[in-house]
Amino acid sequence: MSLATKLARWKEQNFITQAQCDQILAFERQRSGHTFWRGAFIVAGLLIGLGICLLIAANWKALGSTFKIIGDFLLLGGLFYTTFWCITHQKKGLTELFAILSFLMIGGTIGLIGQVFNLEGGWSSFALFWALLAIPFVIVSRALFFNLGWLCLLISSFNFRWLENLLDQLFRHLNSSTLAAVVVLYLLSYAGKKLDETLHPYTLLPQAFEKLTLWLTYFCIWFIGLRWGTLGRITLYTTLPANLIVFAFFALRLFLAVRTQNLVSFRRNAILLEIYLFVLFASAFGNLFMSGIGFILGGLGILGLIYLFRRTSRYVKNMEAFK
Amino acid sequence: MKNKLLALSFAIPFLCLLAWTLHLTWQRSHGLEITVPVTGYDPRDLLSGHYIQYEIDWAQADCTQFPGGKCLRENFCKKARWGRQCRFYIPETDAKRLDNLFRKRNNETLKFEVVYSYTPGQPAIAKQLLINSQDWREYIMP
Repeated sequence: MSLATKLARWKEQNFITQAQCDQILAFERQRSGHTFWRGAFIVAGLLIGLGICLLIAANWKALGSTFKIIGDFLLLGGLFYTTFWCITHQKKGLTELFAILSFLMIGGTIGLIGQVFNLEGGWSSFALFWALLAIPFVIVSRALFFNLGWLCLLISSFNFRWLENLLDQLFRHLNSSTLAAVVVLYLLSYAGKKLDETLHPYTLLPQAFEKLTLWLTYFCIWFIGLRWGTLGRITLYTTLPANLIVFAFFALRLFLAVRTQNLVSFRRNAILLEIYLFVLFASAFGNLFMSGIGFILGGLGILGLIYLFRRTSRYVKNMEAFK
Repeated sequence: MKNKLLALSFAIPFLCLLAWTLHLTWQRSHGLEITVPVTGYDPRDLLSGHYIQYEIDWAQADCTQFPGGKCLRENFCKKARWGRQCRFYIPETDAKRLDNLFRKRNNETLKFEVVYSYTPGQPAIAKQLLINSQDWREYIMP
C-alpha cells in the first residue's frame, strides 16, 4: 500500500489533519529523493572507479611508465582534494561519489606501482595495504555497503591457509568449539551493535561489523542445522544437540525482538525458523524428492510454506507483544 | 581544527604512496644491473592476466655480476610453494604474442632474459625483458 493511500485513510479516520498529511508527504519525498540521488552517486562512483582500474590493468604501451605514474598521482591528489572539498561544503551525495572513487583509485595506484616496478607481492599484502590506506575514506562515507566492502577487503588479506585450518578444526565435528565459535561470533556482533550506538554519528564501520558478524552467525547456525540436524540420517550424538543449538538461537533472537519491540526482526526470524522446520522434515523423506511424486510434493510444500509465511506475518503484526 | 585533521588524514595515504614510489624509483635507478636467464615456471600459468610468470634459471646465470661473485638468490622473486615466483608485467595487446614466443622458445632457440636492478639487502626490481639480448618491444615489433 502506497504512502499516499495510507495517508488518505488516516485522514478519513481523523487520525491526522490535512496539514500534517502534506508535511509527511513533503518530508518523505525529500527523504526518498536523497536516498535515490545518493544511490545514483554511489553507482556512478563505482563504475568510474572500476573503469579507471581496468584502464590501469590494460597497461597501454602508448603511454610511458613515468607519464602513467605522474598522471595517476595527479588524479589521486585531485580526487582526495575534491572529497575533502565536498565534506567541508556538506555535499553529501558528491562525498559518497568521491570517497568511493578515492578508495578505488588507491587500489588502482597500488596496482599501477606494482605493474611499473614488476612487484611480486600477492593478494594478501595488496589487500592489506589498500585497506589500511583507505581507512579515512571509509570513515567519512555514510554508505553501509561501502563499509561492508572495506571489511571484506580487510578480511580477504588474512592468511587463508590458517583460516582454512581453523574452520576445519571448528566445523569438522559438532563439539564445544563449534558452539564456542557461534557464541563468539554473536558476541562480536553484539559488541559491534553497542559500539555503533556511540559511534554511529561519526562512522558506519561498527554497524557494518555488526551486520557482517550477525550474518556469519546465521550462516553458522544454518550450517550446523543442515549438516548435523537433518532427519535424513539421525545420529544420537549430533542430531539432537544440533537442533537444540538452532532452536535455542532462534528462541533467543525472537525473545530479544520482543524485548526491543523489533517487529521486523521477529517476523524475519519466525519465517527463517519455519523454513528450517520445512527443510528438517523434508530431509526425512530422503530420495523421495528425486522422483515425480517428490517434485509435486515439493511444489505443494513450497505453496504451503508461502501460505504459512503470510499467516505468520499477519499474526506477528497483531501480536499482543507488539501493541 | 576538524578540517585540519581531515586534511591530514587524507594526506597520509597520498604521501605514503608517493614515498613508496620514490623509494622504488631510487632503488631501480641506483641498483646494480644484473641480467639473468629465465625459464618457464608452469606452462599452465605462464600468462595470467597481463604478466609473464617465470623463474630464474640460476644454473645458467652469470654469478660474477654479483658483488663477491656469488648469486644471491633470496633477493629475487617471491617465495612460492615450489621454487620462487617472478613476474614481468606486459601490455594487454601484446600478451598473447609474447606468451606464444615464450612457449616456443626452445624450438626457435629464443633466449629470454630479465635485467634486474639489484641493491644488496633489498628485493631486486625487474627492469627489462630481453629476447635474444634485445628489448622485447623491439623484438616483437612487426
